[in-house]
Amino acid sequence: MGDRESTGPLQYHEFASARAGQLFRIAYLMCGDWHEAQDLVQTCLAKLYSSWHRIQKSESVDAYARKALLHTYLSHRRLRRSGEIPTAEFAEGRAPGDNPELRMVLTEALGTLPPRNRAVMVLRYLDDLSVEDVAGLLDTTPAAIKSICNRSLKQLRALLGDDRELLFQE
Amino acid sequence: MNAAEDRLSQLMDAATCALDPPIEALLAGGERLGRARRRRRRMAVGAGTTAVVLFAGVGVAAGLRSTGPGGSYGAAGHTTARPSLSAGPLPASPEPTPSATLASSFPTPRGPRPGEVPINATAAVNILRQLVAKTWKFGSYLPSTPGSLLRVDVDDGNGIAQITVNVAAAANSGMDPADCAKQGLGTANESASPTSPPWTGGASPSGSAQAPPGSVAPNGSECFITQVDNGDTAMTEVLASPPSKVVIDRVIAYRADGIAVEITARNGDLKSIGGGVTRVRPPLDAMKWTYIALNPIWQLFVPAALVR
Repeated sequence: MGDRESTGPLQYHEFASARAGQLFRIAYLMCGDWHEAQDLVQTCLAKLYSSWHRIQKSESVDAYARKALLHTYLSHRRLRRSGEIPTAEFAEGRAPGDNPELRMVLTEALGTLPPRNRAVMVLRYLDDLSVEDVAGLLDTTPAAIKSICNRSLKQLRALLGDDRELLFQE
Repeated sequence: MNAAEDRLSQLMDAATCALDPPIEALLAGGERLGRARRRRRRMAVGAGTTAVVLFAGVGVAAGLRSTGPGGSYGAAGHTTARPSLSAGPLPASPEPTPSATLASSFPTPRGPRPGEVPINATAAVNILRQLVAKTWKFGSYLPSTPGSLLRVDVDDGNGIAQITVNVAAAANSGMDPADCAKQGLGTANESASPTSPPWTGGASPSGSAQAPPGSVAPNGSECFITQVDNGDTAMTEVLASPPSKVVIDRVIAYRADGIAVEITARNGDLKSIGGGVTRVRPPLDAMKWTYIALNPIWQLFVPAALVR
């Protein structure tokens, strides 16, 4: 027990240091807000820290972290749902070549998707999870995830314009 | 994955690979919150255990008393009710929220003064009119939405441009931090440090204002920080996308009075939001937009006359 006490926190720090950046990127694209992404990652890390002794024995700490982040994000969204007014348009033009503009365009476009669909798109295409893994995280079927991906891709394509050379080459 | 999915994956990578979150702060905040969660859980478990022990102890005592000489069931029943009070909800332990952890350095903005009302899109248009040349024409504007107080088309005589304005309390503005490195544009080389607030001498920005040297991306995008002696800080970006010809001047100002102001000026109008431009670049220049954003006239509460 004493052994675990001494090695536990170290392993947590190793894991958190290595994964915080990627968790932040996922959170940022999910919520589209720098400060909210920080809140989400901190809350997710807090959940990991407080349960580390239990979850470090599980097979995939990564999966646990993603699930914690996802649930934190979705519950944040639920709490803020009444204050959110979707708009038909997004503010800035398309600019795929450079990161800041691309970030603005992408976060605006992703922001038009429902939170759950947004999370699916980010986990699938930023975090490179398989359809089955995303389905597992959301407690749903792979077919449902495929359907969400197809619908969301269509919507993103419509929003991001018809410049196929720069966005969504086919 | 098909080609569109591959492309989206690449775009997401490209959009986020340069993000540089404050990892140390996140780790420290996560650990602090995690400790608080663990402590709370232990307290809850401890309280539950105490309640069970008390309940059992009182039960045993009551049993002994009821079986002992002079014992009464009524007295025992009365006593057993007491521990249940201690098993009720514990006072919540103070747990810092992540927002508070990161944003506690911002002062609280002032409240409403007599005759003031919360700022809205109309007030923002009227303030903007005061800060630019009188010859500017203002088109229709969109009502406020979360994250966007105002979106309006303006014409300074050289074509229509779209201006967006947001004003919020700095502590929970939701705006990007004033840090060029975090915008994927590297660290600004130099900061402008005006010796006096730049709006001194009139509401209109000075015509001779020049952007200080900042970090410039290969495509012409640049970012620089302006720090005013009174504690105001602004991050100014010029975002250029040669393929689409879109140019955006964007300023995020965190003022010492606790107000955050974000202004973007784009060389397109509301109708060309999905793409397309209406002029070579937005009106004014990045530095003038910075001065406009730093102007203390932007407040959460404004004179009621401005909303009419």
